[in-house]
Amino acid sequence: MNDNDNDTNNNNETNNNNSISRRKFLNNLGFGVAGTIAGGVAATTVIGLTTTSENKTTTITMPESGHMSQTLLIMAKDIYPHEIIENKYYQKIVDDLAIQETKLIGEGVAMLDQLSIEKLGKPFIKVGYEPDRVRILRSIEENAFFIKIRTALMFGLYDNKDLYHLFGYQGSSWDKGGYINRGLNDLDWLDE
Amino acid sequence: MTNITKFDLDDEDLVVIIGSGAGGGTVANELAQKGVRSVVLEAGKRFTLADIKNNEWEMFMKLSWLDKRISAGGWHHAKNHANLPAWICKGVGGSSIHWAGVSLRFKPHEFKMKSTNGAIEGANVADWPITYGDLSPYYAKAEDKMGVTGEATGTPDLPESSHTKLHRIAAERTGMTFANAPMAINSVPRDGRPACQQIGFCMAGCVIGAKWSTMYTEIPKAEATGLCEIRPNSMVLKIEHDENGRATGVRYVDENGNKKLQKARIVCVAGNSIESPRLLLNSASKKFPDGLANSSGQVGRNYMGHVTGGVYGVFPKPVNMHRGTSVPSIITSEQLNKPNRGFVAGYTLEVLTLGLGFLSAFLKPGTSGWGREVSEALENYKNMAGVWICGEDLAVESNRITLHPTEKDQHGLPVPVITKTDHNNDLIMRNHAYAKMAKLYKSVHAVKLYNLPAYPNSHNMGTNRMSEKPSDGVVNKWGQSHDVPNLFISDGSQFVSSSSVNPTLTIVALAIRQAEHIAKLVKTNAL
Repeated sequence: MNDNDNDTNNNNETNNNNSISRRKFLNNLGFGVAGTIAGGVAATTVIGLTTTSENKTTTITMPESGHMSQTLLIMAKDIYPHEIIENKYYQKIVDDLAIQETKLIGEGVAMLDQLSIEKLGKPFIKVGYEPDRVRILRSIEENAFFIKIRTALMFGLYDNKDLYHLFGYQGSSWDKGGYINRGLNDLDWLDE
Repeated sequence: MTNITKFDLDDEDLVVIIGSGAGGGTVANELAQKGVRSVVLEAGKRFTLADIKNNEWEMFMKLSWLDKRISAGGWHHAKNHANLPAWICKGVGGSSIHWAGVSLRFKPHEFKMKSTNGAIEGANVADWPITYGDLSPYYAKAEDKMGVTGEATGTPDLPESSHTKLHRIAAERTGMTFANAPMAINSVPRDGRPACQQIGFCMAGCVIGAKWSTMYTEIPKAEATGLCEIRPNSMVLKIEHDENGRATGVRYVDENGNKKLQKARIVCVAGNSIESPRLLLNSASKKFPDGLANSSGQVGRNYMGHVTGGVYGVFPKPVNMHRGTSVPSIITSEQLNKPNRGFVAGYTLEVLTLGLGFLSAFLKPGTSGWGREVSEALENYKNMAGVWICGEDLAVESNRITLHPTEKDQHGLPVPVITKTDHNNDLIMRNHAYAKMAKLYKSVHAVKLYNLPAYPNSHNMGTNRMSEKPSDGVVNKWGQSHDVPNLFISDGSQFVSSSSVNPTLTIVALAIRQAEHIAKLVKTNAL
């Protein structure tokens, strides 16, 4: 699915044309989210991530892809830090997004580095102290670039069947007969 | 389902029902059982049980009403849920696909909030034109229809889960009143539907149909009579009327995008508390410039959800809240009207499971909901338990549904703007509930507590309220418009107060009562 064209078109355009598809309609309202993320489109509206941040369109040199990938990994792990999750899961989420949203993500990483250099004198990946990185990220949390990454991570990490078990969540249960005969009431650490 | 009944667009003798959820679906079946013919126009598609999956976000995407809506006013939704003020469904069965199944009756005093507490500054509190006694026999019929567990039908309560056990013990330790929730979920096979297997995911739709939903109860039963036609994918645009001010038909867009006019003898509006007033406002005409049925100016006003929020605790050992029904039990000690607490009306605390996906979104909604605090909480998922606060939200005139002046939806209709600001009473009540929950959870060794703000409203009420006098509300005690005699409101928008409990049982009881009234009017040619 290619949503790249929507980033330049997420304004309040009025749609009263019946031929406009539902997805296009939603995307034009600024709900566009990478298609590989299950549930992403409307889910962003649930968690309030629909702020249509103004992206500056000044010319920015696109970062080299290795640097971009490393930056996004560090950023991802600062957004939802989990020792229990291997890096490869974070990496895949952000790399996939970088392919789908080349311009937004590329410009976003360049912007992040610029901010980091201004404030701490070095690019983001060279900032070794987590609270320093988090402070920078907090300052851009309403930016479309940050929201896109965060939303992708929220679905990629917490709506991911391969990772459920790390949290003690068991996912789908109807196919196993529910819990009626499978630990429904096994809490044994509280005295009556 | 073989649905062969088709009615003609020019058939002037039909009841046209807009919406197929708890209100519309029930009215359709009740009318059909009494020999009254109807067409149900449903904006959403038709799902089967095969469409239902055990995945929160997948089902949210599949079932939710996602046409554009705008949140405005002082509530946090204006920022954090800017386009999702309400979490309700679009499909045959409406939000009865999504509801958790909690089936509590209103308390008698909740029908007369004005005489109970007098006028309240900044609120538009009123008594219902009916009493608990008037509705009581219909509550019994609704409970029987829906198979509500416990005393109502003599069927057993659903079995205890660990999530319930923790709350029961905590309530015992803190002297709070605890109960298994009366649920419209079969605890034994009943009405051709199986018993609950404690699957969880109740609000993603019940995979096996153990939970009552018009999707697979009222709707197919109505169709089986040959007296009811369901038209899915049919978005209603406008209700038409004649020069005498009687509704004559309904304009809608069919599944192929063609505009149609279905003639009607009677129109029942049951599109939930945002779409129903929106449709009346969009049906403005020369004769009714402020919207259909709106001589009182109350259409769209008094929008109520519940005073709500969530409280999740982290405990020293596993709770596994995801095992079993989504709302297994309730705490009712704070339900009564006790103004000495610093607020009027009351609230219940409903034990509520959120899955990992939803918890990651709702634990700290908004743009700042990331970082170590969130990820550490989620790593404790297994050891978490939680409740949802369900308190009476006072009617306030300025909390309302209006039409956006310029923005249009995919059908060319102005999008609805949902403006809501908490009344001071709401704030005090919510804080009272947070404090009670802290005490409750500490008694069972909670190591950490999270107070969650309100979720998008699944309970939407009050925007076409009932009233004795035409100047005070939109419909009379039968849900019949004061202005347009053959126009009825059949959903929760006719509520006068929101109560401390979930609205569905009351919507169904009102729908049964209304259908009985309509059938009488039709048979005596009074309408």
